[in-house]
Amino acid sequence: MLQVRRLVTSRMWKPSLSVGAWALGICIPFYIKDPFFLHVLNIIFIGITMALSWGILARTGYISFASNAFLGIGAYTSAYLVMQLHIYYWIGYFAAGAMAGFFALFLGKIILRLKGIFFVLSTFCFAQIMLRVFRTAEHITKGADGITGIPTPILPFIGSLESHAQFYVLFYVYATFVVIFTMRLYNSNIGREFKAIGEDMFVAESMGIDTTRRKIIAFVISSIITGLSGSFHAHYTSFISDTTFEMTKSIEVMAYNVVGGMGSIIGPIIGVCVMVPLPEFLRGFVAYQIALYGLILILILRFFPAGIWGTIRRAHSTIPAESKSLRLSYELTKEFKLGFGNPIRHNRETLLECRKISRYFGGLAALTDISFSIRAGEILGIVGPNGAGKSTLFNVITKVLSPTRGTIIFEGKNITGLRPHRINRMGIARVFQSKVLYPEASVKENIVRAIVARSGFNEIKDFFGLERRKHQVILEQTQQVLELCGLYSATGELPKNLPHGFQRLVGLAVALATKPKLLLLDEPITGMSLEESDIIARILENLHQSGLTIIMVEHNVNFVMRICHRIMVLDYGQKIAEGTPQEIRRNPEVIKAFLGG
Amino acid sequence: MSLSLFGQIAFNGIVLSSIYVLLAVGFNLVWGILGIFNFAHGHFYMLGAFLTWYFISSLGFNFYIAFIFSGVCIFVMAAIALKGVLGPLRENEFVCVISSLGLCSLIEGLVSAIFGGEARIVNLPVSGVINFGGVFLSFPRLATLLISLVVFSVFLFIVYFTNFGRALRATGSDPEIAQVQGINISRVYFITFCLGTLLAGLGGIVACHITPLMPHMGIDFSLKAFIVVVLGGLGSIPGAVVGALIIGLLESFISSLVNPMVSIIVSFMVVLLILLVKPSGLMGIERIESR
Repeated sequence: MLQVRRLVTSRMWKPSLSVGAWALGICIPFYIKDPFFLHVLNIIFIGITMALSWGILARTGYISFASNAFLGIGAYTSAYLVMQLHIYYWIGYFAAGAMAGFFALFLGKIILRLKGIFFVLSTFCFAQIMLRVFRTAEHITKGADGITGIPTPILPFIGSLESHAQFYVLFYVYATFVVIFTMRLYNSNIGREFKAIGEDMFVAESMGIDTTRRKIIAFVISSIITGLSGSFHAHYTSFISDTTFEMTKSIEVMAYNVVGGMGSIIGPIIGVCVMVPLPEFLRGFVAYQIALYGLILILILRFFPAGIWGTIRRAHSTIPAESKSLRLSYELTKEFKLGFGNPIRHNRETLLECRKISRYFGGLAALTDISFSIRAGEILGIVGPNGAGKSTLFNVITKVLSPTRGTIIFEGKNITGLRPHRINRMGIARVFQSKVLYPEASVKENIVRAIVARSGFNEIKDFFGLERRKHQVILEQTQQVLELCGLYSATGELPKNLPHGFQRLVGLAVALATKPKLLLLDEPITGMSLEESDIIARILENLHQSGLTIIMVEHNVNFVMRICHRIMVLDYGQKIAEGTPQEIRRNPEVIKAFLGG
Repeated sequence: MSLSLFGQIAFNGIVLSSIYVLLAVGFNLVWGILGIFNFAHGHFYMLGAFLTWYFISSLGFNFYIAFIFSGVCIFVMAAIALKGVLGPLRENEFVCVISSLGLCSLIEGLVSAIFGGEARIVNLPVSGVINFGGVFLSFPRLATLLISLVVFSVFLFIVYFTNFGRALRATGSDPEIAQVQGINISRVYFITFCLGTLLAGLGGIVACHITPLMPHMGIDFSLKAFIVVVLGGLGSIPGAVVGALIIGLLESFISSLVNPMVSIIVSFMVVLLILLVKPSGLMGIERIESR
């Protein structure tokens, strides 16, 4: 009795409960012997693996129509190896996954640079092409006749699987493996980065996430799982032909996710459990079966547009935003430990140098031969009337735009051709406006993501939860950044719900979280109250003290004069003056440009 | 290849293109203006063809009356599809795509349940051929070409010379500003969807005699529309015409000279290539991302 109580009160009860439920699940064939029922369950398990693997890619914001193609690639690979080359089943099985992964790697390198709907369409085209390849490559796939009599998998000690019950156990274990794998993946830093990319790829790239690599990883993992499921599918049903892998397969996989609720693990599982048995229930309506299936799909989407699980979850977290009064205050601490580069490195060495940068938009010159340099520890202000090319200059430095001519040198290295995330990792961060932060992540999560990208974790170790210490460091640094920017009171909020001044602070915090050596500030105090701009000034002063180099574009000349050590003036894309605030104040060219003399 | 064979294949290709133009322009409108990627677009094509067959063979209507009746039916069904399914789900692009797939099953399932799944053929009231220098131009196909051209011209007139067309183009370029300027955009959306879907239906009506009709052919035509639109460029009417000509001719030539399967592979390859090289399509408007 005591032991039971201890079990209940201990933190172990939840895992032991799930292990118990799992063990009950695997025993189902012992109480229910109806082969048809077991068959439906087997299809459900395969469906779960496919739905989850599709969800992994969808987490990065990429919707694929090619599940059926990868399923087919896996199925044909293992059927061909086992039947034609008489290879041991499990080698064929892993070869199926490998082949699907290989196709995904090759295809991903080509099509993952497409965005949004264009990627979706290209996977669609790929699937269509593969379907025709399955039909025409007859020496491997036997074309429209299909491959019949595919042998069942062989298990050591058991021999080849015969009954639905045996398949049930195999698929149950496989589905469990995929579920755990996906959970682990979503909870690891890679999963966090997938989600970051899915929410806003542009921000993710600028914060130092190698989006191309991550997307390819997601695509390959997703396809490998689908390929493995394909092998099981082929050896379970013992017959495959090109019609087995029609587009409807992909559509079903998507329907599982949408019906259940995208972006979670439980959602797709619910979706599969609803949608797979549905045609069986509708069998009685014979002629109207397909029509009813469509109708029910429409009705579910119409009434649960966020999916079944999504709607349930939303219903349970209905704390209306208005009822929660937001108490925000700026709490600036003077002391902080975050070091940027070398603390107080006010040596006079050049950090960034731009040589004769030009950028044209068509025939329009936005920047003409801009040359300047900034020394470590300095604060440089860039001022100029609207359309002077200030933002273009920032875009060119952070590689959102490439310069038409000219070179950019950072710490003695030429960084002109690098991609945005490389630039960020070199140590150049740009402050985003709040609207380009991750929209669905809290302030804290926004900062964590920025730190994670730079933490240099080992992907595989992290997946197995072996990067605890790095994780600890990440949390500590998050706290420090929150403190530094006075954002403690807003930690759990979504940035878009915050007042403007706070939003800008979050932008600053996220940029600082990438541990830059050089910070680019785009109009830091626009739209801020006097009090708020004072806070910004104090934070910048702190940052300066800790050795950060800052370039800022700002319209408010008083603010620039107060903060900056040196000022550069742009007009019509050309540098018209450079010097200390005092020099600039007296420069006749500048007065002319600003007052229109 | 002899000149007359070449001419024959080219003629068939052009007839095919004229149908694709109707399909693709409608798809383009619905996708470009409402942002709905409607997989059931081709199903309205199929419905158009089936209704015409039904009116002619079962109710004994003549072709022209059947044409008008089918058109009205398609318009009403499109309105129901928009108001009942696609319109309310338009906010979430992806959910909308999946619901359009549900619509596919619904339409296809109903048609095959009501009319049966076997293939059937419609005969037009016109028959005969002209021998045009060795190229045989059959009257039914010429009629298809001609009616498509008339329908397309009416459509162009609506888009470029009526007040509704002006509202349509304004909504297409910026719905918010159009709204501020006093355009009732939900009305524009409604009419645009019905008009675009009607074009698909009319395509099915004029083409009902060319291929045997089957309930499951809808999705093929959705794909054709999609290929043409991506090729020509989303939001571009001239692009749809050029894309339809390219795909129609390509398909006609490769199907006749090599085999139909290869023609489908080639058209998808072309689209994949276009997506990679110029995602906005041959004549699409390049959107500069401002960030």
